[in-house]
Amino acid sequence: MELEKIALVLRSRQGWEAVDLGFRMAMRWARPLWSAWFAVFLPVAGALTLAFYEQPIIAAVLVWWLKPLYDRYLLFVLSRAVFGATPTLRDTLGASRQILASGLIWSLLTRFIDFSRSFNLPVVALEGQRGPPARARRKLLGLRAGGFAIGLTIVCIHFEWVVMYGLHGLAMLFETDVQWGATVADDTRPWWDTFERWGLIDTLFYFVAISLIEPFYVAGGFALYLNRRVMLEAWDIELALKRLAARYAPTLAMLVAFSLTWHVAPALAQDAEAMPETESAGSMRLDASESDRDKPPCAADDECADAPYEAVDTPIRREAHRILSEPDFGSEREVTRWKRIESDAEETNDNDLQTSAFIDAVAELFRVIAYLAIAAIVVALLYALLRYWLGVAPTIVTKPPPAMLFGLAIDPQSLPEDVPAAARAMLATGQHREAISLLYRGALSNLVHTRRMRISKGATEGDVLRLAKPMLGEAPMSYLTILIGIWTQIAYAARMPDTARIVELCDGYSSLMPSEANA
Amino acid sequence: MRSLSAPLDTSHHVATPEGVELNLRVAGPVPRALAWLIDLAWRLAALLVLAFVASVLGEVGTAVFLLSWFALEWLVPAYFESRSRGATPGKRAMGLMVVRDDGAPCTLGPALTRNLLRFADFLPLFYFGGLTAMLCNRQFKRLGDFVAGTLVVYADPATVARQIPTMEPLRPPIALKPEEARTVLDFAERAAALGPARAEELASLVTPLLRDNTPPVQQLTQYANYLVGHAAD
Repeated sequence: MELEKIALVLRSRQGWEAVDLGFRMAMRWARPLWSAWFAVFLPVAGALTLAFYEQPIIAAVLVWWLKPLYDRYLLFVLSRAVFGATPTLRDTLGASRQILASGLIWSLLTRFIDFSRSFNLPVVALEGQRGPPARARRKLLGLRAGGFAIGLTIVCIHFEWVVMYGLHGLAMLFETDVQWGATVADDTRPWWDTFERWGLIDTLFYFVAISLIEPFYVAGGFALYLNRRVMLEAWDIELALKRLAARYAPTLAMLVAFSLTWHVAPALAQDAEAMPETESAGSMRLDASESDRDKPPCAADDECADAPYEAVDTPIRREAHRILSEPDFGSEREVTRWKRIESDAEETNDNDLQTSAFIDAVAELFRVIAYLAIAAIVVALLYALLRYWLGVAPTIVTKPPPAMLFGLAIDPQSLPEDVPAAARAMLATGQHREAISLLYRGALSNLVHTRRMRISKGATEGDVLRLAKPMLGEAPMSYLTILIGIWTQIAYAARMPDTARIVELCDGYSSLMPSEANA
Repeated sequence: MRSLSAPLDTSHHVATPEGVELNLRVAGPVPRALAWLIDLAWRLAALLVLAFVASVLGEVGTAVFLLSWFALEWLVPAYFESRSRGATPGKRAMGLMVVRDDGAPCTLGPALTRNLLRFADFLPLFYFGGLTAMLCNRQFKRLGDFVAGTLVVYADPATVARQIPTMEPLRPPIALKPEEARTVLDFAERAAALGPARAEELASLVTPLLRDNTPPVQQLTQYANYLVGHAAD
C-alpha cells in the first residue's frame, strides 16, 4: 500500500460523509466497477434464472445469497482504484483466484446475520483475517463506524426496494397488461403472499435493482472502512507530514549550510516564506511589490507628473486590468427565452366579433388620449396668453455656483486676493499641503465662479478635468492636469512632491490662468 | 471544473465574488433518506393529532384536515428550509441543511420549488426518480434541487477547541503554511489515541525538522503548543 498514491482527499469524516465518499467513488470508477459487476453477475444470474425458470423467486433468492461473490470483485476494483491502479476487466477476472480464495465460504455462511456486510468485507477479503483475530479487528474498527455500517445496509436494502417498486410503477405507467409475469396491478392475491405472486418480471426487476445499488453499497462500506483506518492510523497526518518533510528538505539544507541556529530565524523571513507557493515565485512576487512601494505610480518624477494622471501605467494598474479582463468580471452567456409567436391572420377570421370589440376598445382609448392632449394644449395656450397680457414673467431660478466642492470652500470670498502669493507664503512657513490645497481651491474657484463651469456635487477630480477641457486652452489645461494629479496624490496617497515642484506650481498659476488675473 | 486526476472528495467549492472559497460538504442519498424518514415520522404524528382534532369538528373538520395535510406536506417543509437553519427537523437531526448552489442561504422561493418538485422526484413510485437522479450527479442533486438550484450539505458543527497536551512551547525551525500548522496541531491532538509506536513512527517522518535531544513526539507537541499561541520561552 502506497499512501502517496491514494486518489482520495484524506480527512477525518463523520460516518455519513464517509458513506457519501463511497458513493462518489462508485460514480468515479463506474466503468471498471460495473463492467466487473456485469461480467460476474450476468452469467450467474442468467444461469440461475434459466435453471429455475418455473420458480423465479428461487433464482432471486439464490442471486441474493451469492451477493458476497460479486461484492468481492467490486471490492477488488475499488481497493485498487483508490490507490491509483484502476484494474482493467481482464486484470479483475484474472485475479479471480485471489479474489475467491479469501473467505468466500465464510462470507456466504454468515451473510444471513451480518448486518454490516459491506463494512466487514474488507477485513476478510483484503486483510485476509479469519476467526478470533478477524472478530477483534471488526470490533476495533466497528467502534465508531458500526452503527453507520448497519444503517448503510438497511438503507441500501430499501433503496433496492425503491428501485423495484419504481420499475413496477414505470411498467404500470407505460403498459397496463404485462403478460410475461405477475404484476402488482392485475393480481388479486393478497400482497403478503409474496412467494406465489413473485413472477419472472419481479426477478428481473430485482436483478436491475441490485445491479444499480450493490456497487454503491460495497463502495459505501469500503469508504467507511477506509475512513476508520484513516482515523485509527492517522493516514491523513502521515501523508501531510511526508509532504511537509519533502517541501522543506531543500530549505533546511540551506539553513544548515549557513550554520544558522534554529532560534534566530528572523520572524520577518518566516512570515514571508510562509506565504508563497514556491520559493522562486515568492521572491519574484515580493520583489514586485517592493519596487511598487519605492516607485509610486505618479510622484515627483517629471515624466510621470506631466502625463494625465489617469493614464499612468504602473504594474498595479496593469495587474488590475488583467484581473478585470478575467471571466469572473463580466462574461457572455446565452439566455433562452420563450417568445410569443404572432398569431396567423387566418385565426382572426374565426372571431371577427371579438376582434371588432377589441378595435373599438383601442379606439376609445385613443379618443380619451386625444381629449387629454387637446385640454393640455388649451391650458398651455391660456398660460402663454396670460403671461403676454399681464406681463407676468416667470422667475427663472438660476442656481448660484456651489460654494463648496470636494469639501473645499471655493467661493471667491473665501480665497485671498493673490492666490499664488499666499501659497508661496504658506510654503515658506512649511505648510506644503495647505499651499497646494489653496492653489487647487483657487483653480476650482476660477473654473466654477469665473468661467461658470457647471459641476455637480458628486463630481470627481476626473470629472473636473473632463468638464474643463472644452473651456480651457492647451496650456491652462495641462497646468490643471498636473495640479489635480499632484493634489490627488496628496489627498489620497499622502505623497508630497518636493518644494521646487510646488514653487513651479505657484509660478505657473497666474500665467496659465489669465482670466483669474483679470477677475 | 476539477480534473479527473484530482483527489476524490464530496466537497463542492464555491468562489464568492469577494474571493473567498467556500467548501461545502455535499450530503449523499443515505443520510438524506434517513432525514426524509424522520420528517415522514413527525409529519405522520402531526397528521394523527390533526385527525383527532378534526374528527371532533365534523364536516368542517374534514376540510380543515385536508387543508392542513396539504400544508404539512408541501408548505411546512419549505418554511423550515427557508429559515435560518435551512433544514427540516429531519435534516437538522442528521446535521444537514439546504443552501443555494452559490452557498447562499435557501430562501422561500427555492425552498418552495424544491418541495413542490418532490412530486416529480416521487415518480414513478417511492422516489425512484429522485434516487436515480441523486446517484447520477456529483452533487447528489434530486430533480427538485436541479430546478431550485439548491444543494443539501452538512451543516458545520460547532467548533470544538483542540485538546493539546500542555508542554513548554517551542518555535518550529521553519515557517509553516496554514495547512502544515494544522497537521502539526492534528498530530498533537491525536497522538495519544494512536498509540506510542505509531505516533513515534509518524513524528519521525519529519526528522529534518527535529532536534536530536528530545523525543520526536514530544517535540512536535511542543511545536503545537507554540502554534496555539503559547509564547515561546
